[in-house]
Amino acid sequence: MTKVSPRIAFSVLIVLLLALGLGSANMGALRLSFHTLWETPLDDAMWQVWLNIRLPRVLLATVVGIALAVSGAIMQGLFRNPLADPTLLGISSGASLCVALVIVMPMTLAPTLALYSHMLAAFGGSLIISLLIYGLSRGGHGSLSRLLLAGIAINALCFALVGVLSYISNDQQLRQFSLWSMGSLGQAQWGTLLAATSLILPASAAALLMARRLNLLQLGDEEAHYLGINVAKTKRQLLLLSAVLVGAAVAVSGVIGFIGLVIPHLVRMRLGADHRWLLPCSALGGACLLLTADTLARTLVSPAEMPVGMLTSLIGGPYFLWLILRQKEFNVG
Amino acid sequence: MDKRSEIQLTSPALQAHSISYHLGQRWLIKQVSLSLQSGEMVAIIGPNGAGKSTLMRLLTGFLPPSEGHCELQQRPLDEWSPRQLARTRAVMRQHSDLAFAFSVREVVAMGRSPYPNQGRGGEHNLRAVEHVMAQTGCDILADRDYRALSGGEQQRVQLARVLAQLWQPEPQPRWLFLDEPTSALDLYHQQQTLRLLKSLTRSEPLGVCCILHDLNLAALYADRILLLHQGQLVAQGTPQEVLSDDTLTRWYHADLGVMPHPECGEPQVYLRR
Repeated sequence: MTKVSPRIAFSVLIVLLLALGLGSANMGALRLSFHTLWETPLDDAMWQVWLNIRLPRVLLATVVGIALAVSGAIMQGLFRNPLADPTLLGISSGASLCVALVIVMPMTLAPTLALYSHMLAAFGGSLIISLLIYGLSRGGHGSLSRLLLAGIAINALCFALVGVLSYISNDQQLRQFSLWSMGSLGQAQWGTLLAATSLILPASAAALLMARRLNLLQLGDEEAHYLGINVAKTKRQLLLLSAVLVGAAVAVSGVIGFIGLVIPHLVRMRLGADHRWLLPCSALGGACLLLTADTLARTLVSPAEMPVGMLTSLIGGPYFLWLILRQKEFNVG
Repeated sequence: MDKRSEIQLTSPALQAHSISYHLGQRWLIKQVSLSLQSGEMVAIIGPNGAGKSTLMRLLTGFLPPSEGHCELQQRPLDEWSPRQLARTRAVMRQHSDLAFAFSVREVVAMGRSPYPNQGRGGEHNLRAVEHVMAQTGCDILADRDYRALSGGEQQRVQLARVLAQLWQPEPQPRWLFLDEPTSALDLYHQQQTLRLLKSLTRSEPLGVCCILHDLNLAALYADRILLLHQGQLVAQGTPQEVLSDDTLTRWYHADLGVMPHPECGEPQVYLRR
């Protein structure tokens, strides 16, 4: 496949993201073109819808898309495996388990707390699992196979516990939880946007600063050490960064699959593996994809709404399978 | 006193002072003391499982010795900053896989990561990469995907990478460690690689220390040979001193003979049928 100049790709992606953002802000159950917003005497209700519902949602889709794609790229680089994904280490399933707990357990919460309880639970769950993995990575020289195996065990355990909770839950709780686990950006408000952005943007910037070290890790742990890298520390920092990104994304949007897997893969195919370009271009690509998917989720069955996570998995799953099958032919041939 | 021993007295060195390393109850390295001068080429030989790679990891500061300590230019190895150490010694391992599609040029350029990339530094980095790629014959591979190369080509690219890591505009004492750098190479490239390494030790203050399985190559190119057996240094000296019939039969337990090279007279080992 022909390689594209990273600078050009980056510029194209920025333009694409802006166009998608503007387009997406216009589309939805209520069509709000800029024409109506700018030219007619300001209709207050319309303006309110645009400012308080549409705009934060578009921005949230952008930010969550960045978080998912960047955390996917970090994980794949960290594990030196193109199939690694935040779900792999059990971070997402830890979040799911905590949300299931909050939904199923009979608890009386203060109204304000209840509003944010799912978010807090998801973030707490991701953080607990990440800290667990962080702890595991300190022993045994941070061996990655050990981490992967731990991830598999954590996933299995969380999955089993979620199963138990689903079994004892009533119909309404079950529905609530399964909707959450399909992923949606319906929670978008300025408050959630601000909370998510305040974590995602700094973490993404920090990841970008570590791109060179992430490249060197690709040579192998020992080689990176000989090049003057503190391997164990670098890995811990990267793990923590991706945990913060996943935690923030899952907290506001539930489980949205495949963006972290597909986007870095696509970018790598086009631009090569240098993380100094892979990370920023993945961030933009992830934002574009989630923005598109969310716009579709809002408009396809309007005025109702599809869970966007379901949509990304429905499209992303078969597409990724096709990519892998085709890739194999490349390698053999 | 000949020229080489003069160098040994004056040139900066990497020294190991009775280092040992154990894993659980097993001692992988026992009481090894040695010194590697810049400007000499040393081969480490020994039967399988003798601890050659472990010794190299101790000498390069990847593993801290359980006992004893290593010094580089009179300074304990663990007092060196990682970056300063990376500019002074480089290590090439037997085999290096990449999971993603980096080009050969990108891999070689990673060798320059311990150096600044701004202004003059950037120019130096570019020069270094081009220079070592030409030196190792990797220039024709420059834009290929590293993963698509053969094992021998990958080894040459890794050699270029470690040479890039040690390239300096001004000659300074440096050390290069290689773990079987010729294991995947054909005869032509074995010869090219070892000739290159040897000539570098002559033209620059570069110390080369490589693990070699091929005793005949070691005899032809090494100034000094260290024979390791079960974690202990059992013999060291010039090829003539170490590669004798008695010594090799004793430590390798193979039925072999030694005869002088028809042209240069260095000992060459052959197996008896």
